This record gives sequence, C-alpha cells and structure tokens, in this order.
Amino acid sequence: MRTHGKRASLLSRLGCAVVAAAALAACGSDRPAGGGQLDRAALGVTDATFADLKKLYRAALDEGGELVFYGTNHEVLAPVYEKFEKNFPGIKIETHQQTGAQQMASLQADRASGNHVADILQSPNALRYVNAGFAQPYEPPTFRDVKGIDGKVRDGLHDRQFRYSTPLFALFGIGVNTELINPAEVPRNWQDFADGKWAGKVLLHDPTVPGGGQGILTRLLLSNTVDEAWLAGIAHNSTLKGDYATAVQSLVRGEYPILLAAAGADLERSAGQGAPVKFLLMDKDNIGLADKWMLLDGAPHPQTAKLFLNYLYIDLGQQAIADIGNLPISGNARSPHNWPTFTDAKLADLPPEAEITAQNDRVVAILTRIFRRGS
Amino acid sequence: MNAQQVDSFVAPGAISATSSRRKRSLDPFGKIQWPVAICGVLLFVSPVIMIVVGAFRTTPFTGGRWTLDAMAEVFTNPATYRASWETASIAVVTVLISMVIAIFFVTLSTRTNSPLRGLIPAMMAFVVAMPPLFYGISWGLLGNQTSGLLNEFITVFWAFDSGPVNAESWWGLVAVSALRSVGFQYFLLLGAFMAMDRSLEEAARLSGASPVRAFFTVQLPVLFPAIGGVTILSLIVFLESFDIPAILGIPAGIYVLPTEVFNYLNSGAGPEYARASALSLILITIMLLLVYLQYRMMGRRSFVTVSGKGDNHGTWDLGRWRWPAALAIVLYALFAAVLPVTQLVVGSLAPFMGASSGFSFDNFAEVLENEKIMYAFGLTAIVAAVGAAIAVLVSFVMLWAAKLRRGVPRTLIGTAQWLPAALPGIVLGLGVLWFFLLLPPLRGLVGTPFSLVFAMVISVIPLAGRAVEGAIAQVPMSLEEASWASGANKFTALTGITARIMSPSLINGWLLSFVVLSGTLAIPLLLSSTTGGLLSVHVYKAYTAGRVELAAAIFVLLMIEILLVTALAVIVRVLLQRKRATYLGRPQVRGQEGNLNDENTR
Repeated sequence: MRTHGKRASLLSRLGCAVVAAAALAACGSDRPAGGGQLDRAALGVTDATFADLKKLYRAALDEGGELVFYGTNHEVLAPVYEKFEKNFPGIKIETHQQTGAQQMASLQADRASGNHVADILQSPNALRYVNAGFAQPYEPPTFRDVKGIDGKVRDGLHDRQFRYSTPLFALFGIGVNTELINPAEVPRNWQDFADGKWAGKVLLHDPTVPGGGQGILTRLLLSNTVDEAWLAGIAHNSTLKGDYATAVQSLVRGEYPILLAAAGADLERSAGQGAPVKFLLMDKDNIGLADKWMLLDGAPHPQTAKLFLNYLYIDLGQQAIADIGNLPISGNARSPHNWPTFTDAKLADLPPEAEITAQNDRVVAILTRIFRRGS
Repeated sequence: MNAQQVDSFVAPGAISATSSRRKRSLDPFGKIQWPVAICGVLLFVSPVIMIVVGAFRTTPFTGGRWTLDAMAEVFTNPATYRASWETASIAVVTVLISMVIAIFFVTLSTRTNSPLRGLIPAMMAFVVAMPPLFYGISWGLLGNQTSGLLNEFITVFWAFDSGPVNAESWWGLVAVSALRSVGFQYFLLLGAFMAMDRSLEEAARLSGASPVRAFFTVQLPVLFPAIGGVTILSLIVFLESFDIPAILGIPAGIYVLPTEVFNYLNSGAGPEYARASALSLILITIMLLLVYLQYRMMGRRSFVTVSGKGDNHGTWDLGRWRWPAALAIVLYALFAAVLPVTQLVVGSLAPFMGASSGFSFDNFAEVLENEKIMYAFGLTAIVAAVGAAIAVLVSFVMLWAAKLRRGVPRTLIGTAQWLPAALPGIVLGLGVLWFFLLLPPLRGLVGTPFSLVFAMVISVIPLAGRAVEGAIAQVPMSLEEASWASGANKFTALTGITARIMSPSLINGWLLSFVVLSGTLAIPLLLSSTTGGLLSVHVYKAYTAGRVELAAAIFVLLMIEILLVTALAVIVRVLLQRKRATYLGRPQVRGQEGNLNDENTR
C-alpha cells in the first residue's frame, strides 16, 4: 500500500509539474524566480496584496526558502505552518520550542555570538523581548486589511513602532468532563466556582508555579474580575497539579469533572480525538492571551519572515488559526467549534501588558500565600 | 575483621605503600597530574563559576552590574528554607531506601545463585531507560487514589473508602523516586561488585567470621569508594531532579528546590537569573560538603581488591533463601519496570492519554512518518554515544591521574568532577553558555554541535566518574608497575592492564551515560539551535502541546533503541570479561567451595 501510495504521489507530482509548466508558459509572470507557484484564488487576496506577496515570495526563495521560529506552542500551530508551506511552495519552516530563561538566553547568545538563528519570535510575553531590543519594526501591510475589527481595537494589537503585532488570541475558560457533569450545569461566570459546593470537583494547574494557571489567575485578578476572597475559595475547592498536561489528563480520565483555566485549543483537540471533554466560555470576562509575533533583529531570512507575517493576517491564515481552536482577530474567520468572533468574545478588560509584567511579583506573592496552604 | 584489618590484609598482591610512593615519585606519569587538574578545572569548574558570578550580577549578559540583591532576596525568603528542608528530608529517605535495595540486587546478581538473577540487568535497564517525566506520569496514573489501577485492584479484595495507595503524597514521592533511583545505583555499583575478589571474604571466613558478618565487615567496607560515591551522587541527583517532584509532589503541597529554581527562571516578569543562580549555590554548597565528607571518611585507606594472582568470583549458594530472593526480583520488576512501562506503552497506543478504547498504532505511524523525528533518532544516538564515550574516557584519564599521587591536584581533579552534578540541567546549560560567550574565541561556537556535545559531556561527567571511580580504586598500581618491569611502556600498561581490568565498569559507565544523554532535555533545548532538535526536544514539543500519547510513542521507540544498545553493550562486556579473565589468570570455579553454608569453608 505504501509503495502504491508513493507511486501515486510521484505520479501526482509529475502531473502537477506538467500542469505547472503549462501554466508557466501561459502566464509566466506569476511564477517567481527560483520555482514555486502562487495561487491567488487559494490565497483569497486582492490584486494589490497578491502583488506584494508575490514580491516577498520571490525574495524569500532568493533567501533560500528557509524560515526559523523561536517561541512556544509550535505543535499547536503546526497546521497553520503547514498551510503556509503548501500555499508558498519551496519554503520550509523550522521551529525551536523555548520559553522563559531558555528563550531569553538563546536570543542573548545569538546576539553576542553574531550567529543569528531565528527569524521570528512568537510569544505571549513578547514585550520583554521587545524591551530587550530583539525586535525590528515591521508593519505587515495585510494587518490593516483585516476585516471585522474597529480601529481602536486594532491599535491595541501592536506597539507604536510595530515591533510586534497580534494575529490571534489563545482562549482560556473551563474544561469539563462530560461523563461526570452535564455542561449545562456548569456555571458560566468565574465567581460561582468559589462556592463551597464545587469543593473537590475542580482541577487547576498550580498558580504558584509559572504556567497557564498562574497566567490566567493573574489576569483575572488584575482585570478586577475576581478578588482575593475568590482566590481563597478556589484554593479551598481545587486540587492542584504541578504540570498543565497532567491536569488535562486528570480531566480526560474523569478524576475530576472541571478544569479551571483550560486552553480552548487543547480541549478541542482532545475532544476531536474522542475524549469526553468540552470547552466552555464564560458569559463575560473571558481571558484571551494575546499571541504576539515579531520580526527578530538580525533575522537571517527577513523577507521570508515578512511573507509569513503577512500570511497570518490574510483570510487564509486567519481561518487556519480558527481551525486549530484559537481565536483569530478577523471577523471573517469562522470557528468550526462555534466560538464567537474576536469582537464578540467578551474578553476581560485587561491592563496593558507592561503593567501585568510589573505587577507579577506582587500577584505571585498573593497566589503563593493563598494557594500554598501552611506557607 | 573490620575495615582497618582489611587495609592490612590487602597488602598481599600489592607492594608496600612506602615503596609505592618512592617508585611513583620517579614515575614520569606523576607529572601529568597538574595539567590534568588544570584541564579539569577549566572544563568543569568554569561553568559553575559562571553560575556563582551570576548570583551577584543583575544580568549575566552584557550591561549588568554587581549586586547583592538576589542573594539577599533568596536567602531572606522563608520559601527557600522550607524548600531546602523538604528537599533534603525527601532526598535522604529516598536515597537510603534505594541504596539498600540497589546493594541487595547488585549482590544478588553478582554474588549469588538466585533464580532469575539473569533478569536483573534487563529489568534495571528498563527502569533507567524510563524518562523521569513519564515515570512520574505513569505512577501518577497507577497510584491515583480515585482511578489508579493499583487501587482498583486492591479494592477488589479489600474494602476501602478511598484507594489506599496515593502516589501524590510524601511517601508516594519517596517510593517512586526510590524505585527509579535503584536502577541508576545498580549500574553504578555493578562494576565494582563484579571486580570484587572473594579472597578477602574467604580470609575473613577462615578467621571465624560468619557469612553475614564477613559480608558486612569485609565486603561492603572495601566497596566504600563505590558505595559512598554512588550515595552522594544519588543525593545530588535527587536534589536537582524536577519532573517527579513536580508531578507527584505539588498535588501534595510539596515544593522542592528545583521547583523554586524553575519558578525563578520562568517568572512572569522575565527570567531571574541571579535568583536562580543564588538558589543553585545551596545545591553547590551541599554537594561540596558531601564530597568533603566522603574524602574524610575514606581517609588514606586503600581499597584495592584486585590482585595479580588470579580471579576469584565464585557465587554464594543461597540455599533455602533462593526462592524468596527470586520473589524479591519479581516484585521489584513488577513495581519498578513492568507496571510503569505497561502504562507508557498503553498510553502510546491510545488516541489520548487516559483513553480506555480506540487503541491503535496511529501514534507510532505518525512518529515513523515524521522525517524530522526520524532524523532526531539518528542524531540523538550519535550525540549520546559520542558524548558518553568522551565522558567515560575523560573520567578514566582524570581519575587515573588523580590516583597517581596525593596532594592538591588530586583534590582538584576529584572535586572538579563532582561540581557539574550540583546544578540542575538548565542552570548548567546556562553556565556553559555564559562561559562560551565570555571568551571571544568560543563565541562563534555557540549553538554549534561543539557547544552542545561539550555541555552534554560536562553534564554527564559526574555519572561517568562514579561508574569509573569505584573500579579504579580497586585496581592496584602494582599491576602497571609489574608491566613496566616486564618491558611494557607506560601507555601500554595503562591501556593494556588498568583499562582492560576496568572494562566492565567502563562499559557500564558508557551505557549509563548514553541512556541519560539520550533523554536529557534542558541542555539540547538551549544549545541545539543549529544542529536540529534532539529526540528529547521533539518529545518536549509534543508534550507541551498536549500530545502526551505522541510523546509516549517516541519514548517507547527510544526505549527499544536503548535496549538494543544495552544488549550490544552486554555482549561486548561479556567478551571483554573473558579476555580479562584470561589476562588475570583462569577464573576459579568456586561452586561448592563458595557455599556459605558449607562448614568446610569456615
């Protein structure tokens, strides 16, 4: 079967090559130097945008067709990358998954040694890397073309110099095990989970260690959605897990019916694999972590990086983001999970990222006092 | 017969200490100690010095300034002391329990006629090959109070309100950590136990000692370098272990030092290198104290147990204790290897971790069809094999040089080898990175295979050193000296005599280092930017993306690879042992003579 598959694949590639050759003869100008063919219909862009992308694509192929990412969540984002590679043939994406100290150290080492490795950094904590001088300004022209968001909201998705921009949000809410609890019985506001009736039924990634649990509770607190009394209630009701993946497993296996601060993309994927879980959003004050993307200073493939950043904001890229269970900023992208669009998601009103960073030590001290019982 | 009597007893077969020192002072190899010591300090101490310096800098990179803030913050934080106490208490209990079990099994496998003893190395290989992350996850599932397999089994026979087994508890953490530590300790002790000559024990028996007394007062004391070194290494390894305490400890409210280091390095306000470095100083201090303690306890005693008069490796007949010993092997295999490995394999076949249906080979197909992961298999095998070989070679040369003569260089060599063990993987990786960035000629090597292998070798040197150390202490210099007297040159004597006699320990050390390097994560994450990701990096990606079942499939394949390499190493070791036996003289088959219940041997 595999041999047959390979043969079939080979034949189809040969067929594609013949068709491509014929297309090239017919409209040679659409084919950038170095090979590859852009399909304007598949990209779904205007003539002007197509011309921009074609120019960048040609330059990208001249750079060697390589693109290297630093950051997190690359496995989750893999389908988005694959769609890019498919629609911009000849370009291959390489990812390096790093967070925290490792990420910062890699960037520092690249700068000090002069051996720049990555072109793009993706991180919810992009601001710290921007402030450390690792980004170069770049405003993707396609960013301004994104439909369905007003100007004020759009301006909040990047800094003044465009050293980063935000094509998507990771949504966090409630994960439930549908074999243990009817989703209709689960509260749709954060406050109710502090009620004593949920004692022993709630899981949480330990908010005293860095990770999703800490990030979400920090934002709930700083947006004044909850207070310390609520945190104390949650501390009383919940079982902590030291690792986010084990918290999801506990939910999936039915050890507990509810996981607080669950990532939508993770739950939707588990549900897609047959796990008895469902992701629920709150009626208001949902937490979305802005996923920021930046063009790195000294990027070895800057034109390829610019091409990718533009891809993230066209409909094709935005729909790919919606398909994997994240929240794209475009109102045109439809969620296969029936999630609301970015403007309808009723996200909590969060303080600026700089303030969240500045308040980190204080909030972690509060979380430690409340959640480390006896400390 | 006590240890001091052993010291006087071991003189036969070796030359007197005085004449030995006189001869060694004329030995040109003695001059090699200082260069080796300086190289050792440069290689192993430099990254540690970078961490120490980092504790007093606002940033370890350019633009920082000197400060005591981090030290003050860390050492005035009550959480530091709570975590230190928690870590130390769990570490001591875990290591004491695991060392007793390890010595029991290494004795069973090398000195007795227990049934099933041949299975012990394979069982230990399984335990060692299991990555700590998955060992913790497997036991978290097996020992879960509400849905764990163990509790479901127990409650079939006995009525309990809730499951009596709870892996997410203080004793659960100790038990799981101890079960896993035994595997490492076994392999580290194996070489020394295999090299042990029974002549000492026979002499003790002739002097009227009972079998048990002979074992505890003669056999164990002469193995002190190996046992002491392995105990210290086990303590240190536990002090810096992160995965199992994070998975089983945090749900029980247990926070250990590595958890705090992790918190500092991944702080929401950005990495706090200085605080993490300051906290690491505690680990470095504890380790130096333990190594000093070991030196003091060993003193100037000799631990030579190999002579040039022929091998004597007979076994004890356990008599009626044979089957209880076999039962102990089965029970350990069940809890330490079979159950967690089964859980890992089941997880790798599941559509998602924790599923009870829909099992298939889809995850394996996905792994095998992924070109990057398959490339990583080969790359990891090469990097681990080369790194392990370099580590064992460097350890052998350094410890051999240290043995030539007492003095400052010997202390430097010995201590330098220990230092990297005190640092958690990511902290050590950062130390190596800062060291490379500090020296302009090395800056260009950051991110290249050179810096990756360099850091990995340094990380595994303490482990390789312990595998070599015990055995090298047992080989007398008189063997090499006899070779010189017979006309062999120094290099031939070293490689042809000492290295050959130590070959079982060298292979064990290589194997253990290979296994550890195959699964190590923190350093490749930091330093493999241009080499392509090692396998552990792909596992990390899958795991952090919630694809635990895919990560499990990768690890199952890695375990198969490791077991194949283990089998190969065992074959090589057996062949070398045969050569070694030929070299030292024909092995004496002790059979009945070795029967400890036999009155004739008293």
